[in-house]
Amino acid sequence: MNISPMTLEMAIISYQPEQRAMLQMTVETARAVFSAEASSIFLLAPDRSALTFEAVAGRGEQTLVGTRVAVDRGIAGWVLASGQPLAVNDVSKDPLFNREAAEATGFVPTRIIAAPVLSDGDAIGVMEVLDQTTARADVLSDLDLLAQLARQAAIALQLVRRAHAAQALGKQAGDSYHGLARLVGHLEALDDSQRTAAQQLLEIISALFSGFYLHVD
Amino acid sequence: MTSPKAHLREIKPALTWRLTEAHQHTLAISSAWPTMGTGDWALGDATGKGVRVCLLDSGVDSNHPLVGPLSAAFTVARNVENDIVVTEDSEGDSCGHGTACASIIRSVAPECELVSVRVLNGTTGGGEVLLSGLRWAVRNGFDVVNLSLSTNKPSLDAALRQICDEAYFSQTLVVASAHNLPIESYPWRYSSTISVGSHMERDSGVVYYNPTPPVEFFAHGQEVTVARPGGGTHICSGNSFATPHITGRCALILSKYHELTPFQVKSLLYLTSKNVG
Repeated sequence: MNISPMTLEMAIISYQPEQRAMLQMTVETARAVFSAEASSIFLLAPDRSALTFEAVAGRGEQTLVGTRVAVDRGIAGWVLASGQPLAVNDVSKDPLFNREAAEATGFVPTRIIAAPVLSDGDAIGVMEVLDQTTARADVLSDLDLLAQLARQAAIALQLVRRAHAAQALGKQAGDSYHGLARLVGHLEALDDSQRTAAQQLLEIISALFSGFYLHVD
Repeated sequence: MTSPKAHLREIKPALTWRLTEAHQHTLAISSAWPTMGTGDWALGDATGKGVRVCLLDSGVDSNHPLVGPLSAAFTVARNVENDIVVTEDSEGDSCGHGTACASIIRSVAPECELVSVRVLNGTTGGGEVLLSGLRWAVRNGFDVVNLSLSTNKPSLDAALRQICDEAYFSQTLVVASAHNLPIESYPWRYSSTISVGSHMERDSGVVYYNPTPPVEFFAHGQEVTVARPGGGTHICSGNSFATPHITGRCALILSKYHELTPFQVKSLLYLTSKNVG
């Protein structure tokens, strides 16, 4: 299997918690700014089959991460499909609201504001704020603010997506791949002089492998 | 020293538009610009009667009292051969967005002939379907097309621009909503459309001209009371809901002066804007 440097890099990243921490900080910031009951970020599955809770602050924080919801229904589904933010003052009156899905999470809000998480113009996820209690003189400005936070979430979600892809590749590659990932991890842990020597050693090994492949081909 | 390239980047138009209190000063209009032909002459006693309005959206609940009867309803979708076709539609509204927009158009121009063309199914649609729907509407000679939608597919840019130009020269007004986020999207940034963003005022009759396009007009788009499928109302916000206010106003103007060209209607929109007239 051909493992690109980017994939390897992301495999290392996948072992680290920073991107999840960044997502969590984003929802916690949103929850604090809007004085909301909850805030969450969904990630669209690569095959577009579902949205998955990737980070939750407030209600559902301990239980919802990893839970999947329908991609073709609900307010999140609309925001994902349209690529537009949306504010719903009273979900009980909104035809988009997927009550069944909300009840399954254990919390049915009254008000939702939501914004797409965009990567190169495509929606790769959705960020929501549930039951904000801040004074709302200007709902469009609220949506602008949420969209700004969603841009921050987009960076973290891109990393999560790459990490998921790298992990999937890692499973296919088996132990040898994890061995490579561990090797790079060890390399990172060395001091400068040791790392220089180790890199020289790796270059020699790499050259040997290149020759080996040439012979095989 | 600023390089020529950097200068170009600085003057590139913004990707999204909204009129906030902080930006009211940007609406100042030169006193040398014309301000004649406003108010009653353009809009007085107009109802939209006789004007054919096409709403490209998610379908419409035609039984809702705030929407009233539709003249017809169609859907644009792929058939089993994967061809995009336009067929008659009886499914109503797939998500509520179209019904909301229809009720706004009806509130402004109560006697216009409203036709629904569903290009969104549930929460999904497609840029190609949107393009096909728009082409169908233009070639069927509608007076006004409301497009509270956009696509971010660059591959459709040229075709959308072409059909919007075709509309402009065949007396069809395409009223298009600016995207709510700062991303590249189409077709609202074309000069052949009438592009719309939201202002923050509560008065549904207030329209502002924007002296720094591509968005040319701001209309009521914050906390708009709209119809919801099945009955009743709810509150919606965004440029999607500002756009039908301008569509309705275009229908009013055309119901009085049906021979006006898109350029002339746009000029009357300018002359009847709050910061002009």
